[in-house]
Amino acid sequence: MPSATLVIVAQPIEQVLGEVSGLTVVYGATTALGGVDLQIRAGEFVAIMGRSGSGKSTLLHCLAGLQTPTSGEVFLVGQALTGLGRTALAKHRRAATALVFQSYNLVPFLSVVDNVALPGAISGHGWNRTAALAALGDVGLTDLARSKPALLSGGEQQRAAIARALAGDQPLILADEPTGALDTANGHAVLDLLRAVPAAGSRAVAMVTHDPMAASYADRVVILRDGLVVGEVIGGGTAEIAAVLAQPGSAA
Amino acid sequence: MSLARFALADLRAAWRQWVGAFVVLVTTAAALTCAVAIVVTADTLPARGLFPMNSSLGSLAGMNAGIVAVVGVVMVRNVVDQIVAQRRRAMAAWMLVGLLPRQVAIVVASQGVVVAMAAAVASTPLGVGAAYLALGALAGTVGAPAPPLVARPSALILPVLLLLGVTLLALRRPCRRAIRVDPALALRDDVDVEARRLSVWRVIIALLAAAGSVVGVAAAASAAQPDAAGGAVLGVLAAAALLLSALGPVLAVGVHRAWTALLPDRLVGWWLARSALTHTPQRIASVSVPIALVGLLPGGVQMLTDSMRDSQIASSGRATASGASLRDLLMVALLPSGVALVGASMALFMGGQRRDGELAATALVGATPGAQLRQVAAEALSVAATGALLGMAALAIVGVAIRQLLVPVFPVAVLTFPSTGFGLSILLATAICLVASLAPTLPMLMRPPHRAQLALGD
Repeated sequence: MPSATLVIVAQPIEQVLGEVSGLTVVYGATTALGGVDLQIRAGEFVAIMGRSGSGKSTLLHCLAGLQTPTSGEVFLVGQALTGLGRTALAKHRRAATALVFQSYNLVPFLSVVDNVALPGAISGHGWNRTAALAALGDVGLTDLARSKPALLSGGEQQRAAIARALAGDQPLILADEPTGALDTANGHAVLDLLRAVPAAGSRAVAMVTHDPMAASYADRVVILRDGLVVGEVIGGGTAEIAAVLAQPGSAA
Repeated sequence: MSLARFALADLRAAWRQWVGAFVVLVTTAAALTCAVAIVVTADTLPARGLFPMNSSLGSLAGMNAGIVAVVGVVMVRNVVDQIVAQRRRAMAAWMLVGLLPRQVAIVVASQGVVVAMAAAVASTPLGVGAAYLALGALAGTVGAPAPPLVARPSALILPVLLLLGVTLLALRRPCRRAIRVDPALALRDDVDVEARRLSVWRVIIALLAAAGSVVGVAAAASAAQPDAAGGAVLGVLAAAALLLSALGPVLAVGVHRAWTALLPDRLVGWWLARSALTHTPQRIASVSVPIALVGLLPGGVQMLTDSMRDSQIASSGRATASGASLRDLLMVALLPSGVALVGASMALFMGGQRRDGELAATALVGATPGAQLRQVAAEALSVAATGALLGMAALAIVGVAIRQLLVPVFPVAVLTFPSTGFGLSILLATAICLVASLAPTLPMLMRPPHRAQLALGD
């Protein structure tokens, strides 16, 4: 009788930092998301693409716990968001995610360095301005650390927002059109910063964009159309992503 | 479209922005109507008879009308200033389509006058009703029947003219501010962080008030009569209110910065409150000065009456004069304090309506709704504390005047701190300001967070 040998090959198990399952969001008669499944693992830079109205920002807002889905489940760093109260949700969100938006969302009455230190202070860790200054140094804004956000250009404000996301230790960075209001040079600078985040392996970035060039920075591009995931591009360039996005049906 | 029609059309579209100003104008107009109605009625009373108070009643009501007018100018100016600060983008858009800065100011001024006239109409029954109640209450204090309220055309026309004067004076600075709106800056940054500065007018008003007080006190001190002292102190109170109105807005920001700097930054809510207020210094001035006035007026009256009583006791062992009762304080200080309190509340309420962006920004970095409420409450409490400090400073000046007046009359002059008049007024004002701050914030915190976030892009 022939003997059988079982060979077990050890493979790294990538931690799932963000997950949506059967996610549906309905506004009146309009279905913004029609049952989306998605996982974002540690070490990944995922771009979520689609045309206007495809549901990509709604997906990101649900993932961040900013919006309650009509049905489906959202897990953020192992915690189901369904059923969490507003305070518990806010506390889990600040521990699990850092948010970067097109409109920067810097607090207008705080200096840039205090804006970067604010999440830590709100979490009860004090105003760690040394770490905030270091994060601002990473994005080239040390000289403007004491300025108010209104005195900064759009690109500088967005870099400050990225520094705020980098300064924390939240595992998942969620970015909604972070380059939407920036010129090409500033856009590339911001994307370089975001691409460097997952490199260490413990953090991940999910970025919503409609720009194939921005999406080309990601490891994986998820294409949304009419509230459904219709395709995925892994390691694609700008032209390939643009071509997939232009296809009328699904793509792989 | 003519400028007048444009102003009216814009007022119809943006009427919500003017609600705060309307409320302050109605309160001011009602207080003026009440005071003028009492003056007119007192004028018809016989010098001796059933109601032997015509002289003092008329003086008291006349002084009240004067203080109400001064306080009204400050309060109306504060709220209209806030409207201009909040509508800079709209004004910039008007300029971009061809309106001259001067025409923008005319639009603001005409909208202010229209709102004032509407307030005059709405306030008349309130003012007459208040005068009727006040006369009844005053008659009760001397055990006489309430005199009938005299209806004369002047009793209705004079308050309207006074309100028009108050409005025009109050509109001067907001209109100048509207002229200075820079479209490029206004379209980029919606927040106007202009602080109140020391101007020649402020200095002149302050010097006139101080000089008037010194002369009045000197004259009353030489007369060495309690009645003269009482009249002089009321004059000093009016002058202190004027002084506070002129210099308070400039001093308030420094006082607030100085004492809040003592708070450790690990109290994150207080630190955020301090940063938010120092970023928009006009908010500190708009609220703390009225609160100081709310404390000063009843506080000053009580300080006078209680000090006279205590000086009598200290000098002769017994008192013929009684201290101020709560009812007395209400009689003397209710009208101007009420206008100041409504002004402070409206300034806070209107400022609170435009905070979606700030609240969304802190929510997105992890602030819980409870933490955000604590920050807003800390803002109201800290600005009220600044008002209390300013009020105490003004009260100290009144105290010096009272002491100067008591020394020639009584062998032993005692100065008594008005704990009820000042303390209760400040506490009441703080509570109302807390409600006025939290009221517009609560609906924002009840909204889904992503809607608040979207508001950032407005």
